[in-house]
Amino acid sequence: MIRIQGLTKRFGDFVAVDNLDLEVPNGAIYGLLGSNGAGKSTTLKMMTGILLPDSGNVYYADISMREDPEKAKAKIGFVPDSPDMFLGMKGRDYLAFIASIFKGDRTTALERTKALSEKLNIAKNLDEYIVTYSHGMRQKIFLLGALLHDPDAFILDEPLTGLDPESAYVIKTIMMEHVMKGKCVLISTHVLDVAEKLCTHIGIIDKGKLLFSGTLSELRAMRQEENSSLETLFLELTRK
Amino acid sequence: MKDFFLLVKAISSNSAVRVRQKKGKTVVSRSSLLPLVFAAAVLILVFAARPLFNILAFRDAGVPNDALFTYTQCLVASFLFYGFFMGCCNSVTVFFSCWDDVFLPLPIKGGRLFMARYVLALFRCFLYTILPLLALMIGGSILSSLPPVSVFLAVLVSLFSAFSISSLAFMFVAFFFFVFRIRKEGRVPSILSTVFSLIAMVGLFLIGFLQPVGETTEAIASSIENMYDTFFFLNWISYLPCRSLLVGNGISLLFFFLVLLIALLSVSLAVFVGNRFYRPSLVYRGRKKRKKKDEVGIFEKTERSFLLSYRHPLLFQIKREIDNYRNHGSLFVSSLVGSVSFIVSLVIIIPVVLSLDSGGAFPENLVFLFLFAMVMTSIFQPYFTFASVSLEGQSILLLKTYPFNRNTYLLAKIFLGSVFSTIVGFVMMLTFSILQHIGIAEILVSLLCLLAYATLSNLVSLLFGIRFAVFSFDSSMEILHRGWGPRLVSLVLFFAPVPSILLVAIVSLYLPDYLFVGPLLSFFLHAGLAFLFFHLCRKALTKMLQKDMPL
Repeated sequence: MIRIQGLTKRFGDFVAVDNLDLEVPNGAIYGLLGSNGAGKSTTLKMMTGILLPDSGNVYYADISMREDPEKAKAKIGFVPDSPDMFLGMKGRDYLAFIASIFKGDRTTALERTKALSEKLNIAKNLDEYIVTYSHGMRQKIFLLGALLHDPDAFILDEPLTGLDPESAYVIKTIMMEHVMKGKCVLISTHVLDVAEKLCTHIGIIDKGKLLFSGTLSELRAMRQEENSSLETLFLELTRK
Repeated sequence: MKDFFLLVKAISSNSAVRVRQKKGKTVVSRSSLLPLVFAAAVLILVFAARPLFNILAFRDAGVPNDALFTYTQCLVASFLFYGFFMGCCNSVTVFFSCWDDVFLPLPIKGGRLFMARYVLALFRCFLYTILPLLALMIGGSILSSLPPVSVFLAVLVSLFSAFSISSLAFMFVAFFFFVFRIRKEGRVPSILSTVFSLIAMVGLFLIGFLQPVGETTEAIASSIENMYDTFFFLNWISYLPCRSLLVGNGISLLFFFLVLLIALLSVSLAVFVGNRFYRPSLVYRGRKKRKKKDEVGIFEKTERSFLLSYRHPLLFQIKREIDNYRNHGSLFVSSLVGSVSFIVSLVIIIPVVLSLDSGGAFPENLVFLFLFAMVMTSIFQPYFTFASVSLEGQSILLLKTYPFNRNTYLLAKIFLGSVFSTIVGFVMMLTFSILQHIGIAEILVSLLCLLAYATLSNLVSLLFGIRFAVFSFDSSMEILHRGWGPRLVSLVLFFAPVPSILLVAIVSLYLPDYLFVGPLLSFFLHAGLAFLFFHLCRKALTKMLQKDMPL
């Protein structure tokens, strides 16, 4: 479970995220939705330790990110939006590096590598340098790396951007399999169609404030529009 | 013309922009020119100030003016020789510092892009070359009592010589670009210019050291005249005109125009070559695609990677560093250029110098040996340790989310540099030891001290590398040229051997029969400082990882 309490981030006078409270229960795929510049990526970066929040805290199964960041980070698997990292490493070396950092069982990690790399269709590329991978392949290798230690919280920043339909389908399947194990997934996206079909819970963020958090049914009930699409509800909420 | 300079500005901005956080705001700034000016000031000190003191000493010894001026010209010739190689290094940076891809969709001719790069490289190289050159030429001319007109002409000749040398260096590098068609990471040109520099510098040292200067006025003047013939071939561009200035006849003006003509020809050649051969559609050739591998084979290799990372995490991290340096070949090679060239040249020169030495100028004891090796280790600090954290690039953002072992990470960063520094010092020490018959036990003690000092100097370099880390760059060479970090490392390491020197000097004064105690105490000093700096590096790394970074 992920619990965010009063998370705030300012860049000078600009408030990027304003007193955010939300909860991602186990078994949920939580979609954090918002337009460009709404504060989605900033929120995810504070949750994963890339940015330091000005106030507030993030808890992973009651482990505080502020007080015990090492233990909290061991619970997370994060896939960034821009996969242009570790370009100088071969795919297999990168996965070995990640597996050793998270101190999981070596045999289990190796088996997961084999299974997931075959599922994601990058097994034959593991012996090549990441710099030679296409955007989609890089996305897959970081996805694989994030899942190796079977994290409690799987966090993805715009995971489907730039992916072909087959790859996007595989990633959605992986997310659903992950939550079926009783874990949670948090994705940020501005593609509302995907969020509507995939996510069990949604959070709508605009100008740093969380406008709504809950299920799609709860959103429809709140707006008293039983048949409206997520797109319509989102636009109504953010244009207010 | 205005459009052309806008293009030059665009290429310069592409490689010199810095993004940082200041009071919570994202600030975009250009790299300051101050570090360049500081480097130029150091060059003036080393290449001009000291030789001028020599000229002054020769003048006080009664050496005639024409000999003094000839000596000035020998120094100018040797400096221009170095200037060519400095120009090559600068040109490698500028030529490969930014992609042409951003200009591909634009209606800009290849020749124009080439000239824009030429102007940028020329400006940098010119800055490094002209300031020490002018100081040397003006100072030497005045001390040689040349008439003011001749001094003025000598200055003009210097300007055009520096211009020509910088142009030649750029054309030399461009030649490799055209031949090898290698783009962003100029590994092959770096390697080839390293080898070429090495051969040339060894040759120059041999020529210089085999020219005995003598002690009497007549002997000095005679040996300077001998140098004239040797250095003529190195600096024919400006040597003849400068020499003729001293004679003071009309031929001097003719030679002045010859130098001017060569400078103009250099520019014309650059324009011709650029228009004829340069095509901005040349694209980076990625790595060769490997043949399709059997999946079973790949998983065996994957298993080996996992085995190494779990059982030997430090070795795995060191392997990761090596892979990183392989992908930034020009930086790795450039940071070794001076070191390797100098080691080899000194290993050749030391026996020659010792065979010439008849007055016992080099003490046959451990103290001198140890201090010499330590100073060499300090001077030839490999800058890839400084750059190692910056080379993480955008990966640092993902690293921030991992609970990785900081100790293993830092040890891997300093390992290669420490090994290299130890080897540098040890090779120097061994060369002297063999010739001066120093005992094995003393050599081993000194090696231990060198290891401690090499580790310390690399930790100092790493600390500055963390503090002045640059994660956003087009070419890795920018890391060594942006900001004050590299210059501060040079400055600190320049003075770093001083505590050891003092310690060893005090011991040799009060315990002359136990000279080995000095290096041994130095070992404990450096080992202690190394632990302290390791702790500081750890703290700095933690602080850096907690800090917000420009996204």
